[in-house]
Order: sequence, then C-alpha cells, then structure tokens
Amino acid sequence: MPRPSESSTPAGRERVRRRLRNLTRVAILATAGATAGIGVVVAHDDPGSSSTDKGTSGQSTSGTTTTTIDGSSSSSTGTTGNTGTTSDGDSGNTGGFSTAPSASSSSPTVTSGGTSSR
Amino acid sequence: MNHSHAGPEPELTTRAFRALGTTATIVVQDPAAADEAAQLLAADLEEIDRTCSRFREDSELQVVHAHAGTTVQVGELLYQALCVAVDAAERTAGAVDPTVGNALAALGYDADLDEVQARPAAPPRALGPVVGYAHVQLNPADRSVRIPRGVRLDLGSTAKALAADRAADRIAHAIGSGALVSLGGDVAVAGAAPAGGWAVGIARESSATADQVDQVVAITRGGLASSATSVRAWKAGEREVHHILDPRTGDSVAPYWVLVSATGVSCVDANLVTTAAIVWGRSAIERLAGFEQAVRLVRADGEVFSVNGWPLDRAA
Repeated sequence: MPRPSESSTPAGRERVRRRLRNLTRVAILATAGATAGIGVVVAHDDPGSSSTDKGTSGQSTSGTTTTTIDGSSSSSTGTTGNTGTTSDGDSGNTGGFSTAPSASSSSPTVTSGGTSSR
Repeated sequence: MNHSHAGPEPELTTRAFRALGTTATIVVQDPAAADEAAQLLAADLEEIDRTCSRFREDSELQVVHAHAGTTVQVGELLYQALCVAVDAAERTAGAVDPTVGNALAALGYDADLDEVQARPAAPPRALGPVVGYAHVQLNPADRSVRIPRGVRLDLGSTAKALAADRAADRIAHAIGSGALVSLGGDVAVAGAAPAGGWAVGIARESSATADQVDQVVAITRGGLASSATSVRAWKAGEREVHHILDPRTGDSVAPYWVLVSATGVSCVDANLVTTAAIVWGRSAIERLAGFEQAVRLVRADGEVFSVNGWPLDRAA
C-alpha cells in the first residue's frame, strides 16, 4: 500500500519545510566552517565558567576550550560561524533555539536522566 | 511521594506512582487539582500501555504483529504513535527506528526490564541490521498499517514521550493551569509555567535526588528528554548491553555518549535527538547542526558539550 505523498498532509509539508530550513542552516554552517574549520553548534563546557549566556562564543586560548557556534550568537572572534543569520521566512530566527532551557538555581522539581526502573 | 516547595520558589504539588516500568510524576501549581491530575495521568498511561506495549499480550500493537504481512486497521492512538515513530525515524535518517523489536528481543530485552535484569544472562541470539522504518506502511485514509512478515516493532521511547506530551496537554486543559508530566525523566509541560519556569535536574539516572543532579535548567514550554546508556542495561552473555540499538547492526550502541539531554517543542521532539545522538556517537555534534533542539551531551570520559543554546553547567 503506497504511503501518501509527503507534501500531501500538513505534517508532511512541515517535515519538508523543516528539511529545507535545516539544509539552509547546514549550508551556512559549511560556509562558516570553511573559514573557521568548525561546522557545529557546540559549547565545550568549561568547568570554571559560570557563563550561561547562550550567546557566548569564541575559542579560549587557555587550556580549556569553549567553542560555541550558536544560532543566536554574534561571534566577534572570527572563529565561529553564525547559523542564526539564516532566514526561512518564518521568524527569521531558525537558529534562535526558542525552546532552549535556561540555567536555574531552583531546586529541581523532577530529574531527567536515563529512565530508571525505580 | 508528595512534596511541596515553599519559600521564595513557587509552591508546586507533586504526585508520583509506578507506570510503564518507571516512575510517572505529575506536578501542578494548584494543590487542589493534584489528585484529579494524577487520575488523568494514570488513565492516560494505562491507555498508552494497553495500546503500545510490546510486552503485553493483549496490547493493540500485538494485533499488528499478529497480522504482519497484511494490512490492519488500528485505533487512533496507535496510529498516532506509529506516525510519531516513523516521523522520528525519518527526521533522524533511521537512527531512531521502530523496527528494532526483534533485535531487542535477540539481545534479551523481551520482557519488563526488572524481569530481564533478574534472570540469568543468556548470550544474544543472531544480530543483524533491522528491516527499517521505510517498510512500515501507514495509510491515513483508513488508519491502517502494514509491517513486513516477521517484523516486531518497539515504540518504546517515542511512545513514552508522546504519552508525556498528551498527558501534559490534557491535564493542563482539564485543570485550567500549568502542569508538568515526567515519565522516567521524559518531561512535558503545558499551560502556564511557574515563575522562573519548571526546574528540571539533569543526572545520569532519572531517580537521582535533587542533591545528586549535575545541572538544573528551567523550561517554560515543550519538553525535555534524556537518554543514557548506563541505566536500562543488562547482561547478554558475557557483556553488558543497553536498550539503545544501532539499527544498522541490531546491536547495543557502544557508549561514546553516556548521557544526552535535549529540549524541544515537545517531549517527542526532544526525545528523538537524544536517542539519535547516542546512536550517532562521535558524529552526533556535527549531525545536530541540522536540528534546532538544544542538547547537552556527556561523553564517556565525562566531558560535557552544550549544543544549540543549552546553557553551560555552572562551576561546581
């Protein structure tokens, strides 16, 4: 039984749109990577850092690397790409990571980790 | 388990109980709504289990297995769970594949985990690549499904995440205020969040207490999920294996990452990248560039990586 065309349903259209959006981001990452040699959006955690600003970016010159190529960042180091400049016709902030959590100093209500049988 | 947070933090009321082989937790801001919320959650989870379990002989999923090779109409919830599972597979290029049921059973995971862990270790049966999600045929016109003969599905993580999303939405709507649902650490929130957001601890194991977590983050909407290689583990012959399989080999993934957590627009959205990242191993960070979910990854040597806006851990 054939499956319906992917673009024939709202969910399918959303998937196609998301892929196109992601392809745009990857293309920009690749461009940035050609300069920076890095093509990912990553912060390598520095145990001594208390920064929780997702805009933090750059590459430390100390022993611990902090490398952020972040969708919302605006790097001034020249070592990172900025995926957040993509425009997809939506919010214009595909790399805005609007569901990213914030750091909290509250006591946790629940814990997320590997699913315990307890 | 009931407790409240007092003082400067918002007062929240929690109910927790056993379900789906783990702990189900509902947290609400209105204490008067806690019991109703817990009852709604319990009913939702019973429906999910009765529909999607590969361990219950009476589940609707077993009807699909019994009719493998032919087309069978299914109920709305199972159809939704199948669509979610196939969509997760498509979005992760097959890293999260629902056709791993036989492979999990070959490794020994053919019953509730407590039972698997309690019995003598048996060597795995023959392992190999899984059939693949592309062979799961779904037809929305008559809500029917067809899987290849002999294939067994495992809706495991996506169905649990879907259950969290459904329950949080339903409960928040029913009680008219914000709600958080956690199913063994797969978290979904709906409705208005408390001041400062819903605080969620991140730890290797979802049963970790507040003082054992590595980090605390807050979310205000969507979901947060974690996948780990050290918790749902058991012995298969001489080696330890876990529940996240590489569909290309049918074998338990070598743990390059030991814990991956993510947030997304839903718990399903978060869950699919945490599972996929475990499967992708070393290439996960590069692949995550194609996703919008914020992700925290802990490598086997303890190094922590934050991707797509996940906040850095605070200094100890």
